[in-house]
Amino acid sequence: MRSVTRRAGLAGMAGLGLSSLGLAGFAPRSPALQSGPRTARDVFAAIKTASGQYWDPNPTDDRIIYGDPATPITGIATGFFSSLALLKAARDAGLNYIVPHEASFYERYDDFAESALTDADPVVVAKKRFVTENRMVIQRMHGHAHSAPGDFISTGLLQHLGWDQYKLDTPRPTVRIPEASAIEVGRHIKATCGRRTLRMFGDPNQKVSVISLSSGMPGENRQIEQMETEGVNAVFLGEVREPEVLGYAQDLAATRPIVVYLVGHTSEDYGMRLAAEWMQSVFPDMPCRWIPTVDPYTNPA
Amino acid sequence: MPLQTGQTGHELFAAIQAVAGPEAHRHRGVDAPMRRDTAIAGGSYRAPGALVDGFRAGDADVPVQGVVVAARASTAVLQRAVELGANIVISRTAFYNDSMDRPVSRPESALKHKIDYIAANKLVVLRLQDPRTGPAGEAITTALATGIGLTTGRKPLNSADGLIYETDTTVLEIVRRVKAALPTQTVRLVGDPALRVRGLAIATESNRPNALAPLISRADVNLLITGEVHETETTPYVMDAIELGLPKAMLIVGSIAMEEPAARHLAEWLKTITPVPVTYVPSNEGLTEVM
Repeated sequence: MRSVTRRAGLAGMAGLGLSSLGLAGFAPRSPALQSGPRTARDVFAAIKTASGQYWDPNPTDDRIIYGDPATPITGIATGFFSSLALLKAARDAGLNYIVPHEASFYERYDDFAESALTDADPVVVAKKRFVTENRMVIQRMHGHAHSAPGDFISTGLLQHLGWDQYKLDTPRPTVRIPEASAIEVGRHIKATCGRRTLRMFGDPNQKVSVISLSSGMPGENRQIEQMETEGVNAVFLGEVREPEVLGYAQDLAATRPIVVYLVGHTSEDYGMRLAAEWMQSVFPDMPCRWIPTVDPYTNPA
Repeated sequence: MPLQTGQTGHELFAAIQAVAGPEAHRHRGVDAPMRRDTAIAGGSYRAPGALVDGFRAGDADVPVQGVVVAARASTAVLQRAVELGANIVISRTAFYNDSMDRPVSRPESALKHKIDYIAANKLVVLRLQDPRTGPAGEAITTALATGIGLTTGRKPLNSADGLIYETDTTVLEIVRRVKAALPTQTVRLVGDPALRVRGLAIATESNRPNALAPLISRADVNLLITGEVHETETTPYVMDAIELGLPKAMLIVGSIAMEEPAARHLAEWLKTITPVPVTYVPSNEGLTEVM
């Protein structure tokens, strides 16, 4: 949903990291190796300890969202959000500890404080029933996926795009790729990310090389800042508020060319693959798997 | 009552309000969730009951020389207004890169250029988007529905909460009508194009999480057409509803493009109440579907 500001401070804990993050020497701080059944409460405690992070459940509720903490855990599934499709896939794979990046009950903090849905809503009721009947537990990992050493979310995205080799030494994720037309780069993004739709702003023939990337929805100020970064000629964005951010691109285009790829919020999903790999290193004797989310959108002719 | 030549921007706005009718929602103030949004979101959100209509740039106490109406007053639209000799620009959607249309303390380059351009050319920008309850105002709010052939079967509902129509068609047919009515080909559909649609909801815009849940969750709504949604809330809801086998779909058409029919209708209607030239200028959202 958003990038947490504490990321900068926690990112200073580099040196910890996964092999797939390209950072040597990573080891969980306290591998949760133990005999006997592990409960969801045990698993969450081990995750918090192994993360090496000060674990603040606010503001995005990185906590056990739903399910009985005393449930014995058989395996871990990570993903973009705990969709019913993901829950079914996890159940079929024997994984009952679900770690989604985003909210599970259609309300961003999963505390129902802002939910406009009633308690009797059939979708909400069905999802709760599915989790309960299949003895599953959902533990959200949002801010701590961003602030994990190496940043699971942006690193996972760069790796998925095959652009980690082009990463520049900048505070925000930026790459310098071999120059190509905007439409060619768009096709690369669409193909590698498995997008069924991809919206692009700007001239398809514009040459693109330096790309600033964010996924999710860090807010219009951050997204506009990406377009403003000197030397950047294209930006990769997740979800935007259109009058503000697409609108800014329109206004900017009155003075200089800019290319914007609107890739969608699910562009954060690839980072949860790294989260699954990390959890496998924490729980080597338990299956841990990333279950990808298919692009929810199509554009029928 | 038709305006006279030489009347001011404020008088034009007063005449619009008199004929279009009062807003469908009254301002409810800033609620608690909005304070949380403002504190952490890195941007701004507008409370669902907040009104937006009003002058957002320039001095409206000047004679109206000409009016341009647009879905969004982009810099290109402002430049076109100057070419046309218009000094009042009416924008349906936010145009200062902030949902509240508040210039930030240190505007970014394109925003600074825009603010300077407005000042240098003595332009006045009026935000006009709130659903209004008079017949003329309702006709603006329902312009998209009318444009895709929905002229009957509307259910009673506060138009600020959305529009609901009884119909009998398919999602794909609605997609085709939307692409014919709107200047966009980059729509995004969640759901099955072959789904039969008997209840169709239209919500003109949403920049707030959860705002559309009451519409799409209704048993009498199969398809929701909207400008944009929060992709971690409304989209997941529709995905899960479909996974459960419920007959639901959602068509996201872009919140700027969605306002084009209303802007065009508003321009035509304004010609009947003011003697100055009124021109509808398309905003050109500028999006391409990568194929």
